[in-house]
Amino acid sequence: MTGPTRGTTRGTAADELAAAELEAEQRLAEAHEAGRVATTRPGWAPLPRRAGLKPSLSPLLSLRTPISSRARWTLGVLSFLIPLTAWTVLSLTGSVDATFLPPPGAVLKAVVDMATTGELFDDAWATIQRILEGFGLAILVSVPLGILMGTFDAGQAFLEPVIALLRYLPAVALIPLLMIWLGVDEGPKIAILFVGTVFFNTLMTADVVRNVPRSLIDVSYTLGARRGEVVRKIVIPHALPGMIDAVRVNVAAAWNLVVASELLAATAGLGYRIIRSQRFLQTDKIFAVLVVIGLVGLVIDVLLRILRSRVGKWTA
Amino acid sequence: MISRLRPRQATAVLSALTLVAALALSGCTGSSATPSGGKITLGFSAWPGWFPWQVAEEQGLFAKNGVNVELKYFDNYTDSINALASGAIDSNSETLNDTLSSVSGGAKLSIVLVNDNSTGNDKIIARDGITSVADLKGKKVAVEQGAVDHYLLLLALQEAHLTEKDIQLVPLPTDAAAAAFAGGQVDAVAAFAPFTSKALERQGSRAISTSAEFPGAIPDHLVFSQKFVKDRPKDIQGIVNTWFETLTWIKNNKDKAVSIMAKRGGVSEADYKSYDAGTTIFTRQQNLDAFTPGVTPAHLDYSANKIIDFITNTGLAKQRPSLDGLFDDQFVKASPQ
Amino acid sequence: MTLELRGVAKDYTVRDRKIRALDGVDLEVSRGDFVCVVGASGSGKSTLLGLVAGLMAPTEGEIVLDGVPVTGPGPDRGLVFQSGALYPWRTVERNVSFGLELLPIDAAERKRRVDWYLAETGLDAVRKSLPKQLSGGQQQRVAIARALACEPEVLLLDEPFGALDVQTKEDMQVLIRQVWADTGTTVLMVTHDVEEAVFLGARVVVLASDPGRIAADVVVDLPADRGLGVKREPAFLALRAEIEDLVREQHRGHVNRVAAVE
Repeated sequence: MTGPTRGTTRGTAADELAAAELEAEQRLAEAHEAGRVATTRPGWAPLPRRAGLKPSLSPLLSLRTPISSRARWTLGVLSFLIPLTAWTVLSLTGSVDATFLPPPGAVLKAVVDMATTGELFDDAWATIQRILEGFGLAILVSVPLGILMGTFDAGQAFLEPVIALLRYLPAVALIPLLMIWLGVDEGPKIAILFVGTVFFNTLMTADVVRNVPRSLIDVSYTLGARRGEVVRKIVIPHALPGMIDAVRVNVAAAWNLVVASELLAATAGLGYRIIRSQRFLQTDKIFAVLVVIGLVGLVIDVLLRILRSRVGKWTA
Repeated sequence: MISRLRPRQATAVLSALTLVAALALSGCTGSSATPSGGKITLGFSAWPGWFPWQVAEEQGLFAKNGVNVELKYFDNYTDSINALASGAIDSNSETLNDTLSSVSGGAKLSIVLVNDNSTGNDKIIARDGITSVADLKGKKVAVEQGAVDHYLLLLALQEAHLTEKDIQLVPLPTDAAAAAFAGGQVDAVAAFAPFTSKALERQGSRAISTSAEFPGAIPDHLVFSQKFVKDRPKDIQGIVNTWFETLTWIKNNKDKAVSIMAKRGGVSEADYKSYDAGTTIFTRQQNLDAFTPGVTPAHLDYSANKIIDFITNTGLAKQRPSLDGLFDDQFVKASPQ
Repeated sequence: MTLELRGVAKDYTVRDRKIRALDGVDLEVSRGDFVCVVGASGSGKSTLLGLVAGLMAPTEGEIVLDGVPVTGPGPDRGLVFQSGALYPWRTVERNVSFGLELLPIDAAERKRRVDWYLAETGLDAVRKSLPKQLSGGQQQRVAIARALACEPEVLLLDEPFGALDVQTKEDMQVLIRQVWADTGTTVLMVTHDVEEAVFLGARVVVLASDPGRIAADVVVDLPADRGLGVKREPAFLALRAEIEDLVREQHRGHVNRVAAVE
């Protein structure tokens, strides 16, 4: 063996293994060469050969190969455990000021404290309520509009240009205008959530509706259905799982916006609580609220996933 | 002004959160150590008692006194308070009650200079039909929550035997609060100059209570972190000296100074001149008196204790702050007569 | 009942070129007929069916059903696509009942009819299944039952068994002949499989290519109660050969024309 060795027996064994593999490959290639005479064109140089894929690749590293459910669970747990451990270690060794990175224990205590005083539920409910109203309104508007756009070419031609423009308006930039128009109560906050989600949801709904197969619509006419019946009984049921998917995506956007919407003239809410905590450098409270925000968001997502799988039992 | 504010408000949350994350990752502790001899950040916001800093910068008076100062103007007063408490800036211009609230949250701060006392430029302005603070019962009052005018509002309510629960608090940054009042969306607003001018644009509005009725309650200061005072006293001395030199310059160049300060405040020179009586700039002697312990509002320790009682009772502070190391008069004492 | 196509022509615009898919098609289908339409590519067979179904309008000529011109789709002309086009969120029985749900009949009556068609097409065992749980053959049965339940004047089948394997296809061929015999429905079917056309049809119509017009209209002179075994008999094979020759001739012509254009 040429070159520097590490002097360990393990290194030598690995070299031997590599050499053996190389030899095996060469033998395989030579065998192929012999058989190749038959298939290669006369007068043509033989094609260079590539070695095939190594069969011993672990499923974790193979493309599109499913892994065992145990591996799946382990990886999922690790994705939480590793940052959590890093966080705990950083706090325990005191390498970071507790004001800037409160230890996990302090954050947990802050959550419990807020829950005991009831402050947590008041804030969470205030925020959730805003989502229900703002995003709820967006759904009421965007679903019919989306169905209109997806079913009627004229609807799309009329609505798409203006929606494509409006959806690039950052909802947060509209806050001053909304406050002038709607005052200082819940109005502007709900309006921000509405503006920030309605356009995207309309376009996504329209896409789903437009993807209802033409053949389903045609065959329905031949069974005697009228246009309205086709929309109600064919288009909407077919598009429903897709519409739930769109809602799931956009409720996350609403959840993100709601914190921004609580910057002004709020007296309760999770985003509001973060601002107040900032004033007194209560970073443990800020973290606590962030954790709650994340968890509530997760719960909403899971609920929607369950709904989607119920409604979309029939999808392939 | 609102258009200048909103994106900042949004980034205020984001910056608070990313500040926490970034500092955690970088392993910084408390306030970041400024390289010695390097520039010093001095935060201030809209207030007639602080606009002289703008004059100092434009007339090169910092450099003249041997200090490398970078002024950081904040559209939002609370942002500046938070920035000092978290160490993002080296010094800030704050009122006593706000500094005490920050200290109650764990910040270690030191007041080195009294800029002024508010003698009328903090106002509670109400619409036509509301003639006294008692009339605020059940009404919508816009104010920057947790900051100086919230404190003034609570003082005034207490005088009228009311509490915060008796009114409908609408928390908004001061400039948005003034605009909301001017736009007719709230019944009253507690704000400071120059935003009071905006609020008073509303037909039939008037001030129903001002800081003139609470002498000594709202002193305005230059505040450093205690660590900075320990590390770089020479620079602080230079800054304090600059202040007094600036006051002299302003006295000798009244018109030019008003022009600079009105511009910084975004108001007309006529409006600016009207703020004169409401902000009483402190002389060197008044500073010395303030730092001396005493039993009248002219003395900071007396005012501080009264304020501590008030802010802990009303929830503006979570626990009683300690006054240890808070008042440091060495720089005023050593400044030229 | 008579279905008449009189001088039907259909043009398409493809990339600024007008293509005439059908030209001067005259066809008559009477009650109880089983007509299979075969043709090479370019013959416009599916276009023909789409026009009869009313999903598109002819450029020239008219399509008349019992003296009334066809102006749009309707349950009097039931349609079965090659892809089945079943409603994936509805069970088999609810697919079949769809057309009936639109009519003012009561639930008991509806159930009676659905039950009959499910039995007729051999779908009883899977009546509560969703389409995704069915095989290709079963899905096509559902499509046929669904169209039949509306008692159309004429049942239109657009290459219905094209996507099925040979054995399933033969099962379906037997089934459709059985259904035809049991219900007496008039059937107009398009297929590219000449053997299938001869087995199923009472008449086989050969469409020419470029543009499509009737090249031949052949009566299938085979016993009415024929089984799969007939496919091996000389009379069948002769008829099949004759029609296949016609189709191949059209196909070669079409290929040459396409090459000439490019």
